[in-house]
Amino acid sequence: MSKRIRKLLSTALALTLLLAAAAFAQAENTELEPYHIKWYITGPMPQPGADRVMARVNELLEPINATLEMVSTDFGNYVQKMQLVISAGEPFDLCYTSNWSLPFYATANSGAFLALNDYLETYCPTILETLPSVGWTAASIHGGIYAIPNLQIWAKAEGFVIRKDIADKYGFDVSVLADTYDMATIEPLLAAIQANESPEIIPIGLCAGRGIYSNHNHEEIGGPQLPGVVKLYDDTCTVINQFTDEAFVYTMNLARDWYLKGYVVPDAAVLGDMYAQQKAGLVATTGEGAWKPGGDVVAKQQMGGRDIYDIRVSDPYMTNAMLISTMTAVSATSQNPERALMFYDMIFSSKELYNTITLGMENVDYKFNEDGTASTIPNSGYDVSTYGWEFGNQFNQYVMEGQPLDVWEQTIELNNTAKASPLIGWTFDPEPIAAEIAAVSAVTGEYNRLLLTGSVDPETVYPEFLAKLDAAGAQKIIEEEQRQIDAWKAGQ
Amino acid sequence: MSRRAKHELWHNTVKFRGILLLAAPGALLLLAFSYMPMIGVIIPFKKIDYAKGILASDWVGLTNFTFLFRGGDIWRAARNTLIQNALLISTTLVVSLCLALILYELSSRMVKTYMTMLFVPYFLSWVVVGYVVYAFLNPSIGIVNRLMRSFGQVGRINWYVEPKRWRAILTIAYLWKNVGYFTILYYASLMGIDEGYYEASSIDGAGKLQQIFHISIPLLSPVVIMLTLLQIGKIFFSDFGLFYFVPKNSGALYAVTDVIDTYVFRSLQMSPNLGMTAAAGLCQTVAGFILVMLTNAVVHRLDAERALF
Amino acid sequence: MKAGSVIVKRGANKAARVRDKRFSIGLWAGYTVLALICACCVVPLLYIVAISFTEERALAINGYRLIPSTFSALAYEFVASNPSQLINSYTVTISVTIIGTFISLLVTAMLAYAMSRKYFLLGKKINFAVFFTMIFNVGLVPWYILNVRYYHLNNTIFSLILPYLIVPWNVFLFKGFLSEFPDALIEAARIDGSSEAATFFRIVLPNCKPALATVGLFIAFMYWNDWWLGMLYIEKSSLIPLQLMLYRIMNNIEFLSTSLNTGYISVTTTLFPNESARMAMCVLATGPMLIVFPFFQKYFVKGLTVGAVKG
Repeated sequence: MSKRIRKLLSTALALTLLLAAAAFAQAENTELEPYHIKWYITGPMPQPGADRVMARVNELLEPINATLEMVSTDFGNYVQKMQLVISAGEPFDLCYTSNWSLPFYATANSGAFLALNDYLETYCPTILETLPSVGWTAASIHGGIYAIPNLQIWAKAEGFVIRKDIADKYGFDVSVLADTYDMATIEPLLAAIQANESPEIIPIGLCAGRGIYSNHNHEEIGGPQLPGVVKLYDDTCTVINQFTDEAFVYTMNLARDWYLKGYVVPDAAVLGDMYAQQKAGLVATTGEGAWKPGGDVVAKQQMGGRDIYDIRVSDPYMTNAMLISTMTAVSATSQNPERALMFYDMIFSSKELYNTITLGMENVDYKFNEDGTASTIPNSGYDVSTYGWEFGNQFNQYVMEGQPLDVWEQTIELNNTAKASPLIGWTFDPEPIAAEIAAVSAVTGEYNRLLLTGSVDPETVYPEFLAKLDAAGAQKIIEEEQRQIDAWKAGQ
Repeated sequence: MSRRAKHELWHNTVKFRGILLLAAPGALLLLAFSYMPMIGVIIPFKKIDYAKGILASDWVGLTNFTFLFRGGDIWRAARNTLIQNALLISTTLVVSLCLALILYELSSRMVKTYMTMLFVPYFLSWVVVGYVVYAFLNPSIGIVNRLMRSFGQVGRINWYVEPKRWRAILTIAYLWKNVGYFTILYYASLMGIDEGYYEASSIDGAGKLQQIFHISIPLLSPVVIMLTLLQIGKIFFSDFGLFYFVPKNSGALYAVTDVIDTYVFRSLQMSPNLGMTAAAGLCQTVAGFILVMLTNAVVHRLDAERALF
Repeated sequence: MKAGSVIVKRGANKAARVRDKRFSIGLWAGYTVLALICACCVVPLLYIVAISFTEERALAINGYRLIPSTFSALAYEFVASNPSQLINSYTVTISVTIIGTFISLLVTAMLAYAMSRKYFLLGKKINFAVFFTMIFNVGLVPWYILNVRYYHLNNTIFSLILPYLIVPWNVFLFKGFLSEFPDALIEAARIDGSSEAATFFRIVLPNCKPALATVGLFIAFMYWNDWWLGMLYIEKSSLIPLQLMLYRIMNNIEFLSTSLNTGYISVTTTLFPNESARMAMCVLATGPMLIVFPFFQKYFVKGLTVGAVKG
């Protein structure tokens, strides 16, 4: 075959393929009735530029002949709004659910979500391929899959931030903390700051929203406010009360000691954050919500652009709570769950779709830099990139300016190497002890922040706390959790 | 219904058709937006299952109520609710009544300025009021502690950890925000009093104070009694924002600031439950209802005219 | 005690006031207290305005000061960065407030009038029926379902108006004012053959201006300040009322500045003003109502005297 003929043939072949594909797309298009997908999310909308961005999204959705509407409710009211929408039986397709906003297990248990088992294979091939199986395990209740976990950072590690200029000034060696994970090791630094810096400098930004104690090395079964944890390295899965655990007592006493020495602000118990003080350069050291790849960039910005040491102070671990911390469910009232799932699959398969939803339109809302990273264009009227974890697959997001180029590879690596909780695959049913859960939540809501910021004297208040926990039924919660775990283990 | 009663009803309807017609739009709106939803009174007794719908969900008896009484803190919350609300109702009444009486003696131009100033805080949300209070009470850079230091006071008060002053602080914050509202109300009521009474009494040589005690206050009393009765009906509910945002939800202050609404909020914040929320609301309603019926009966015995119904 | 049948000029009253020296000292004391209280009301407001113009960083270092140590209008720039939505939301809120106040005031007054007439036998029953709705709390769910599924109010402007048209508290307020209304006037009208409706519109309404102004103001304020109905029922951005819009911006700022651990944050977002923006929004939301306030105040005039009529 001469070169020319071969070229001609291949061109013809390519042309036929192209035509066929177009015809196929068209056929698919005519097969599908137009459908309007309604998606309830929490947080960012309405953005001023939402209309034009949604128009662009709808163009991208032409292959599945769907249009998209995203309805957003602010964080404070999302749960209430969704409870009303769901109990009114209003038709909608997708909604955000998690362990902290619109609680997944309770909502799914009361029949609000559609079981996806029969749909996934047909309509979500990309998701099935991309999502690690551990995700599906966490989203299952008695064998039914009731939500799609969003792919993002699933591993968690605790972090601690120290301003570099201050640490260096007093010759503080951060590796001690990084090696021991023991917060008490920073005491000399705090003492030096207290003694030498001006009085408005806060040695440690400890407050209600940023404790030094975190749940390292255990899985919290019903959330941080409920007694009942299982240690990550305990394969017998014995439920213990973390509020009587020695780690809690140690942290509590440490916080009290620092509070009395003046390292902590006096009203720490009522502060949700200290970002304003951090930005103003008043905070020398602070806990970090979660340590993660690229997190140092954010931490530096939070410290008003000052250089920092970003120290990981726990092993990375993965728990049920992390896995279900952001998910998307299909409503039982959806008129066309197939199409909703086809759309959601597209978010996983199409980088363009994902980034249009999160960043907006290229060269209007964001632009690419020479190194391949993207940066947002300020005041363009559309930017929900901070909420990227709400939209399916965050690893589809373009790397943003300032982030390491391999930020997602690093994150995936972290996910894969993190120590998994022995409870993964088990789901907790809070229904039988709902009254105790409510009563105990009220108690921990009162004491937890006070004790962990050192604001009150543990001598008198801690016994009071334990007595009230007891009266509210903490023991019953722990027993029920243990019973459910034992039943699950026996069935495995 | 007996024939006679039927006849009477019809007769009354015809007789009062004019006034019934005036009441109709309001009554219909009440029916549509207040009475129809009352079917929801069954919610506290149900285990909500969205798939079945609320009406068809399973009955669970009093299960949804048990959480309220599981810990024991509800009694502290109930006590705080009653004490603090009684304080708020009474102080607001006294202060705003005094202010209205003073305003009544002022020239009208001055009144406008003063009233605007008094009413302005009412525009603010409790969240913002919470910030304002924090600006004053912040232990490090707050205005009060700064002032105290400049007057030579050593040691600072850690306001958000010491509960003892908070009944007063809450009262002041509430007065600050709401006194303008009630002052306008009483002032406008004073405006409605027939001026002839004052004129006649001053001819009789009555002093201003006598006028206040013998004319203004007696004539305002029906309004005062009515508003107080209405407030008693809601005494088990509280102004959530006042008790949540102003003390910044500080656990150390719960001894005096934790009320039923904040307690229920804290219990169910992390595990929201429609049935349990509704159960708490129903308890508050029933308790308030009993209390207001008793008070109303007492008022009725003293002076039937002034009873609410 | 219908003592008012004697008509006395206002001047005589003033003369009596001057005579009463003991009282005038008391009055001056009263004025002083009043002025102090008013100052207490206004000073925190000045703080709010000052904070809204202060740079966030300065707030953290110096605390709240009456004169901004570092002046910045960034908070306002941020809030006004989307002028079309801001104007749109102002329009929605203004229309809702005007329409809502007008209708609500009318139906409230009519119902209150019916309740206040002693000869109306059903009056006490209606009183109880209105009061009962005030304290009976069955939660939001049935109310929401009714409005959405049966009245189909969601995403209409009616959802921002209808649910608040009758508020029991306001009905009772109005009734309180009307119970002072002289029966003699109504009686006289009736004898003249005026129908109930005609009496209400021609005699009662024009003569209870303070009541209309007071309750009208409270209703207007309620509509103006509401974001709750919008949050529940409005999903179209063209119908979002002002307070809801501001509330959402605030929530977004709060979120951006508190939950930074969830993702990448660009430099611009971390500079968003938090506290100062909250105060700026407070100023933007309350400012217009302060301008409207004197309009209502105009009607705080003394009611008619029975004496004048009888005479």
